[in-house]
Amino acid sequence: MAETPAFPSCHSDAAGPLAASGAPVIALVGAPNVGKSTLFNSLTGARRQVGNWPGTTVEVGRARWRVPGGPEPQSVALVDLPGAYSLDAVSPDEEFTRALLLPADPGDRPDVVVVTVDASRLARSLYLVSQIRETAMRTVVALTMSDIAARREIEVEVEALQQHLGVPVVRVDPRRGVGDADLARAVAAALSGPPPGPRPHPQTDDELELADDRFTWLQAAIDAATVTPERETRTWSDRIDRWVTAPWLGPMIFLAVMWAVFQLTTTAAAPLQDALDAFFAGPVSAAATTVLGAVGLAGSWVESFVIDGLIGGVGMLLTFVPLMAIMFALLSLLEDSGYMARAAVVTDRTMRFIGLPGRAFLPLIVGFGCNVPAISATRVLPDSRHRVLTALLVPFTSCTARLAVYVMLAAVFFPEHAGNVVFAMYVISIVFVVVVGLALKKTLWRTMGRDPLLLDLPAYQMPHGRILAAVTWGRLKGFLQTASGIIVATVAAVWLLQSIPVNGAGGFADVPVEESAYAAAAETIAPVFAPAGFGNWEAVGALTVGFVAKEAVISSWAQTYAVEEPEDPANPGDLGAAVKADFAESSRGHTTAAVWAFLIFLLAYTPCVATLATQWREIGRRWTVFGVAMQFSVAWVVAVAVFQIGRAIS
Amino acid sequence: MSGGPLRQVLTAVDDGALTFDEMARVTGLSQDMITAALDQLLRMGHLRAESLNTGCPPAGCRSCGSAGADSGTCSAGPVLVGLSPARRSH
Repeated sequence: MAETPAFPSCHSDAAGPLAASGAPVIALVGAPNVGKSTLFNSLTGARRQVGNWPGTTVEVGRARWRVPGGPEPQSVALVDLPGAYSLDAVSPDEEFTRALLLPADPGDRPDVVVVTVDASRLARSLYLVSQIRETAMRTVVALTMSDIAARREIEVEVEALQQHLGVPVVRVDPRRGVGDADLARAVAAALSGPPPGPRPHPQTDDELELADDRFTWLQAAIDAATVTPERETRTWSDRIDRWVTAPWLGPMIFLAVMWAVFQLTTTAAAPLQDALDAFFAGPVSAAATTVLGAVGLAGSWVESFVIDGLIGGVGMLLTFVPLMAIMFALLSLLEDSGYMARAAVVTDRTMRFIGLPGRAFLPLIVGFGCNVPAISATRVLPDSRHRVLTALLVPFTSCTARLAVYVMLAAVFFPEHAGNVVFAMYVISIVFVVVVGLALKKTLWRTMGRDPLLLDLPAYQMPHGRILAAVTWGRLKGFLQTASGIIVATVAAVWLLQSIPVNGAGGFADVPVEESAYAAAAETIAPVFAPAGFGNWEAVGALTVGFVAKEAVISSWAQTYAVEEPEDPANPGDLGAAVKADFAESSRGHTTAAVWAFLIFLLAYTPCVATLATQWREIGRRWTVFGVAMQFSVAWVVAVAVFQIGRAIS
Repeated sequence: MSGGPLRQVLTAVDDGALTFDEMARVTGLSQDMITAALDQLLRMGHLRAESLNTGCPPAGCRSCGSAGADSGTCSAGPVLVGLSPARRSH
């Protein structure tokens, strides 16, 4: 038997009874959080000494333990080794435990090893036993947490377990001191008996084969020794997940949920939007006009800039604040409740269909909020080809900036079905991602490998009001910051271009917009879009501005029509009617087809300059240029097809 | 499914089982066994795991409605844990 000094003592300043030199050494091991230290304290009366082992920073407890030994109890040294899941050392603690249990000289091993095993999580605890049983060490298993196992309706039969493991098993409850004496007797018996024969195991260097053999062995032990309910206890989260993550029903539920979100958003926001629109067009514009008149700027370019530019452009954008707030609140609700994690499962299957790795769902889901961080998120993909493909697909995900334009056009042209139209745009966005992804996969990256993903779904939870409010406000603030930053700059640029006369008509800031540099530039490009039914300079000008940021589409439209119809006293701010009239004219009466073509072009072409800059940084200049050309081509071809087919049908 | 619990779980991950529930259905193993097997495969380096956050990064863009939206609130919602095979020696 090994002497205590051979199993070196730890440094400690703490006082307490230690076993005499030469006393047997009992090593107490087990996975973390299985009640090992509680057992140690219970066995030794909490006379624990804790210190660093010589030459290490590893903490070890050590104390005297009295176990039966002939006429008088004998003292043994009980050593509480650091928690370890296995003897495959992956941490300093485990390395230390392994070194003490399996020293180079077998004579230095502890006399008995007590392995603490959690009865409620046998699979996680028994791996260590399987490894120790490959040696000839005297071993006793202390079975803890039986009360928790019972609550989970898991019944562990000690006799069957010890028969399968080949070593004594003692049920203990160290918090109540139950089983301490039984454990002491089992250890004393082990000390006086012969060591058990090692468990047969494959003689191989293949770590996986060895580990799988241990798992097979412990699975057999669990099967033999435990009685579990017919079916594992299913939480209500599990029950819901059976439906919402089902292969076919899951996507349907996801689409239904998103449809409900858009319906609720557009329906609830409509009256608030109308009120805000009237507020900016009425009292705000009137007040600004009064103030500017009072300081002698009436009729000046400053008044034009403030009224037509800032209030007309930014004000129109701000009418979408209620809509954004409702939408962000509903999406936050889905995220905080845990549903969005399930949506990721549904999306992941689509990714696999395209041939993208499962984790590509992450950037694409983020893309529905904003394309810029979504492209940055492609860094989670380890394969550069996956990164490029995903970064090229992200711009087809419909970001919230495009939502405002959808809502405006849907409200103008399809007032009875605005929610359905917006929902359809998101479905079309997914179709674009799938079809373009498949096309690129079939042409450019035919040999891309798979990279599966496993999602640990959190349980559903009641959304927290404070978190919902914080997230909604955070996103809304982002929207407002955009409106006050890049949109104001774009509005100023559009106003400037609309104020510069061409063809000698009028003076600066005193020129009909159709005679301005803005209209002239847009007019030059407009014929390209004639086959798509929106070859008018007003729409093309808005799309050109939308290249900078999609929020600017609405503000530039508002500026265009406010400038164009300043003397229309009947309806000076009726942006919708003006847009409607221009679409009817450019499409020669096939307005519906032209609007759908416009919406689809808006969805598919370059989202914004910030997205381009991010693409440039992440995937390089060549792929960015390719992406811009591809998006424009896809957007134009599909828009033309939609208009031509729509026109033929109507 | 052939092999012991470790190989079964590894095969299930490779074949596209997406959740613990799905993996339990495919392998017939208990959730406890699957968790233990996944832990062991992670420790051995046959799988790698990482937290995936579905929100915008705190330093998100400034160019659209979602800009910087999740600053300070990224950890509010559920966090996904992604596991994927690190190598396929099985």
